[in-house]
Amino acid sequence: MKILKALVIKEFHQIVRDPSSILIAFVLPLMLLIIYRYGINLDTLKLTMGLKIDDPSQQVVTLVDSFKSNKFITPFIYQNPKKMYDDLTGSKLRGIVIIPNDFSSKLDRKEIATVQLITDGSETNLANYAQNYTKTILVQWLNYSSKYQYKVPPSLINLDSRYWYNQDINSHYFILPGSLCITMTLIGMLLTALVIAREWERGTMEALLTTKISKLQLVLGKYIPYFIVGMLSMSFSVFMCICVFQIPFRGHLIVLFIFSALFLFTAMGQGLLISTILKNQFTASQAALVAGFLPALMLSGLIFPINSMPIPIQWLSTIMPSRYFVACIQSEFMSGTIPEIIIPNCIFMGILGLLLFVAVYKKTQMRLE
Amino acid sequence: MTSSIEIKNLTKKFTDNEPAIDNLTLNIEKGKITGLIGPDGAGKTTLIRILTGLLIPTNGEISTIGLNPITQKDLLNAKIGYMPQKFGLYEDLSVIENLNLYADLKGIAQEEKEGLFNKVLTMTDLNNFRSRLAGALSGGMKQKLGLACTLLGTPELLLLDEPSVGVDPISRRELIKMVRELATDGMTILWSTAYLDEAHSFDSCIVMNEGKIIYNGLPHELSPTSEGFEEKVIELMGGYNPEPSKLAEKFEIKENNIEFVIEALDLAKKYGDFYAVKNNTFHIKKGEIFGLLGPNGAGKSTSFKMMCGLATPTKGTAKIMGQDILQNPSRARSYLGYMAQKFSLYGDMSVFQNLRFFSGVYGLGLFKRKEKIDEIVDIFHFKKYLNHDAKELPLGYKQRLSLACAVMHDPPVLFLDEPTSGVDPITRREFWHHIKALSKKGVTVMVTTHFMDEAEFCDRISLFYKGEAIATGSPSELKDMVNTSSMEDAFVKLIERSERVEQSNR
Repeated sequence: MKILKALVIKEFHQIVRDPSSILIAFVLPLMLLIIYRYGINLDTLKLTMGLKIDDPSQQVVTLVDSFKSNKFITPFIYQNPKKMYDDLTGSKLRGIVIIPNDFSSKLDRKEIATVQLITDGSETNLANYAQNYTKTILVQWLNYSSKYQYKVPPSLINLDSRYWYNQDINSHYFILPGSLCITMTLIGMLLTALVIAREWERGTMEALLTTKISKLQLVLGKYIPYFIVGMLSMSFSVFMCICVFQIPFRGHLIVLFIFSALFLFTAMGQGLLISTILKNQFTASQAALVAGFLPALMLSGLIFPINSMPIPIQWLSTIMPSRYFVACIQSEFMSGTIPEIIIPNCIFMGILGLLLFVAVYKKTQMRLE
Repeated sequence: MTSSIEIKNLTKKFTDNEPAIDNLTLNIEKGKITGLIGPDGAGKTTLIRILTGLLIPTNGEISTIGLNPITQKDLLNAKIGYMPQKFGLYEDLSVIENLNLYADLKGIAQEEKEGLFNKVLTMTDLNNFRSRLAGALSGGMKQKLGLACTLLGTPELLLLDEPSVGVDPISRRELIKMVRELATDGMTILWSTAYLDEAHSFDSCIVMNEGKIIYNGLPHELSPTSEGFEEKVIELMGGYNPEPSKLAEKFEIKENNIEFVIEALDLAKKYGDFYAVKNNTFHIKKGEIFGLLGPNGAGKSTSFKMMCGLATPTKGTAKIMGQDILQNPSRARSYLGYMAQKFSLYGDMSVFQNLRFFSGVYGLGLFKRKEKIDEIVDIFHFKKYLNHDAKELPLGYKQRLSLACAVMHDPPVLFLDEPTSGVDPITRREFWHHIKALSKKGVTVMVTTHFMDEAEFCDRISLFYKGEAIATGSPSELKDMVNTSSMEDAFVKLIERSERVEQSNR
């Protein structure tokens, strides 16, 4: 026990005094969180559009109001047509809507009224959005406006969409918790992938092997300090997500920490295994990035659903701990603790973690060959 | 005479080529200091690692203090102290933290720690540095700390793998003294080294070369003096017959009228607040062999690098053939041939590929390249190794390859950074033979070394200590300065004198 304690203390001294450890455990996750929060945005966009209203009647005022209150459009009212066209061609506007001066009078006489919509086709995606938004606004306005309601034939099907757990389909709500998985993988694997290789490269492993140290003490002496650092980093990231970025959290913190601990244990096992086999810091870090980071991004179900992957790849994802972690974390944040999801995933992570621990133990050699 | 270690017919092979250790039979006496002497690649480290159980032999029987290192490694670990070549120190931990760690790893009780640490720290003169990070210690201090950690737990057997490498002669003497004091307590000590001149400090010595023992006995029986010892070892290795240096013959040096081929004017290098090199000034004439002597950390490597243009001086200028190395770097460098310490060629490329690369990179024309490479292969006998990867070469050949690549473009100035560290004495002789012949032809040579006997080969020497050149002159001038007959004594006395001056200046 004394030996184990001495090893853990030594490791902590090294962690604190080696800037790379602090960088990987705290600065890197912070950077990634910021990138995911502000850099990646899968939401539908807010468009800037120009409005020219040539019809001064009261009803058109309510139409303009519905443009203004729509949360996907930022309208600007123009009096000068030339300036409006210049702004469109200058990419300041995504589209312009012109309401001619006979708009309301035509509607009053039950004739077809036309509205002109010009969009910036250089970005066809956005042009489509502009078109759709405008059409929707017009139809909604017609439906709700007291004067023209009866004019509009009722539609046969009324589509009423709701997105459970994420009403606004705010992509940050599912990307950021998933990104916790990526940061945890990086810490769990990258940090530990370096440590054993470092001892071999610096020659300190050779000296350790001639003392009374036992294999178990050597292995645990690596797991324990980095587990503590990993959990601290995890808490830091969770704090950032919930308190600073205001991601809603509907589960229980204790459940979150339990399966995070399991995941960390497994990721560390992977990292230590790489370090023990490769014995070279540079190649170990490369291997950790390829074997850890890429699968966490691609195969964990974070961005691409697992069900839609080819069958052999689906089997591959069953040995990736990040797959189980992503499932747990997304449900814990968005929908609260659901035992049917949490328990099987935890069991899988636990089994993987134990297998890796045994592999690390077996691969650790107490001789130079 | 009881044996602490008994070895019978030991063989160790790493690859299918020559064995690292070849059918060794040996007994090491208990309670004495035995020196294991030999050049790099002789098998010293392999032998020590087998004794501790870190490596398993291919064939043979071993008994280390009565235990079998293969099957009883755990029992053995508790009774031995092992200091590997890289000392096993944790650079991010302080002196006292390192000691604490090793004390715990060896199962020393908490109550005993205080007394033990005091004893060991006083012995190694590290008491004032308890909280300094191990990485911030000088080379000699690191070695002492490594030794201190190894001594914890009072082992029966002490295995030290090249503990004195790169250290100044004063620290080396202190280390041996320290170890001697322990030997009187009945400890068996095995000390491996590449320095032949340390042989006389040991009770008994084993000289190894290429995996075999070429001498096992009392050092005085082989030769009463250190210089004589090296001669005898060379004889045992097969002898050395100097032939005229073909390298110098084929060397075409361009005529020039410059008086001082290498000049340093007030060179200084500062790292933060710390002066690695201060006020370095010297002028080297054409055809001179100039040596920079001093222990690791004295500033000679830094000085050297500034002269080559590998480091930017904080102050002062360096000139090669009259060209300022900072203002006209490519011109100045075209006059240089540089041979780095240990090995800086491309290990994964073959000998031929290395030669071809360096000939190209030094700007030799296509026809000249072929001609030159053929010449070099002939002079240095590379034919056998032409297609071998450079990293697999025996050390002597690696060093020859380094020299070959440095002289391929017939440079008038040669910079050699510790060119002979770790090589066997025959290769060393041959090397200096070439250098002296080149110098006669007019090549100016600047060399750094911590081998005192190599200092005798130089025309002039600059002795470095703590960043300053404390004495400059020919070897005989330096010896006269302090009235001694050996270079090593001169070195020690000059350093002591400089320390006294520093003390009185405070």
